[in-house]
Amino acid sequence: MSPECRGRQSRLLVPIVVSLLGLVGAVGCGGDQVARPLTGIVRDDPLRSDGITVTDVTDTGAYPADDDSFELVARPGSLLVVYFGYTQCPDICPTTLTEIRTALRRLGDDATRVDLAMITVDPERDTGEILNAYVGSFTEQFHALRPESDDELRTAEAAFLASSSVTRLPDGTVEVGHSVNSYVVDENGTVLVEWPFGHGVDNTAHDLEVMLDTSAS
Amino acid sequence: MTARTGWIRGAVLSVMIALPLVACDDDSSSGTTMEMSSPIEIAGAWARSSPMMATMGAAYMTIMSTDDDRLVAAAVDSSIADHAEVHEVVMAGGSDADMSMDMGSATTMAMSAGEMVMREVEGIDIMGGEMFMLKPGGYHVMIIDLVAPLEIGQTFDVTLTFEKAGAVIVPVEVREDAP
Ligand SMILES: [Cu+2]
Repeated sequence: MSPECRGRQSRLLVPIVVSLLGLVGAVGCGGDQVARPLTGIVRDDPLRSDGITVTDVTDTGAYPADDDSFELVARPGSLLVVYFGYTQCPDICPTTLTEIRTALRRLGDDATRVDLAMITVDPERDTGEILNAYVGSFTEQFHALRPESDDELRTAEAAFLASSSVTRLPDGTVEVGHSVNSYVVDENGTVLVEWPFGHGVDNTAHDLEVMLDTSAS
Repeated sequence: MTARTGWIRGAVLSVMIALPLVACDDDSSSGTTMEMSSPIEIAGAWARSSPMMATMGAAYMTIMSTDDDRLVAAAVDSSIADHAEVHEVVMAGGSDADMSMDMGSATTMAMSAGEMVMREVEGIDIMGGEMFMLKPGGYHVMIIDLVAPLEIGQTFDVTLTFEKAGAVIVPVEVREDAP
């Protein structure tokens, strides 16, 4: 523990934290170690997404793509929330993305240090135009990521232990299965926390606040 | 769950009810309720507002029936969407390697890393006297091929068909999030 570490107490509820999981170890703070509770899943051996790139089709919002590929790391001093989904998903995806949007609103100005990257698992139907409009309706600070090949998608998924499948059924409908966690990545490409489906606005906002506080020092 | 306050009596199809009958203080005060009461009651019906370009929507609600019954179909007007279906979100493939993740301090959560998929269901059994919830991550009425995005504040009808009780019209409120 480091006494000189900036230690603003979270204004959010301790009981929620206690009832849930894990302590986060060793994040920033001038190289010192500080233990702060996060409500999501924290691995002893964190996942990493640095070096993993996905085709970036973002063409609106705050980050027009000047490059056509995006490395899954946050801007310096910021966080990147990564989500795998598809726009024709009526239930899981909008539920999760709405929670994230609501949590970001609670952060106020700090939300400018959080970007959202959605990687479509259904690139055939999710054109760039569709994906941009969809992700952009949850935050202005987004990356619309559309893998150009199966290999590209699988490589990105593997970094997060995520998975998906798109099946065309005989009746013409398309069945999409996908893992449903969201991931928060820092500027080094370390996955700081994973949120399962239904993690909740309170927990999501709390975790973002804790991680932003930590990475600010 | 508390009293019946706020519960909306399901109205039988023959009557085109004029909304807005959200949260009446008393069943009897609702001019939109038929005197011949349906055994089905629906509460808290809502649908999430559509993100831009979304073509699919989902409606959620709590269903209660005085008798055992079975929800067998859902429909929406063609001015809202092409059609509606009753869907369930399930884990694909069952338990496999995805479920035994090597997680540090975390305990296992029910829906942590498995792949989830949604499927149409043939019906939902409603036990008499018990509440059945359609909610995110579980069951929903899927609204397929929306004519226009669902906008916050909008209300539209979903017609549910029960094996015994027949058709019940449910006014669904479009919201950003669950009520
Ligand atoms: Cu569905």
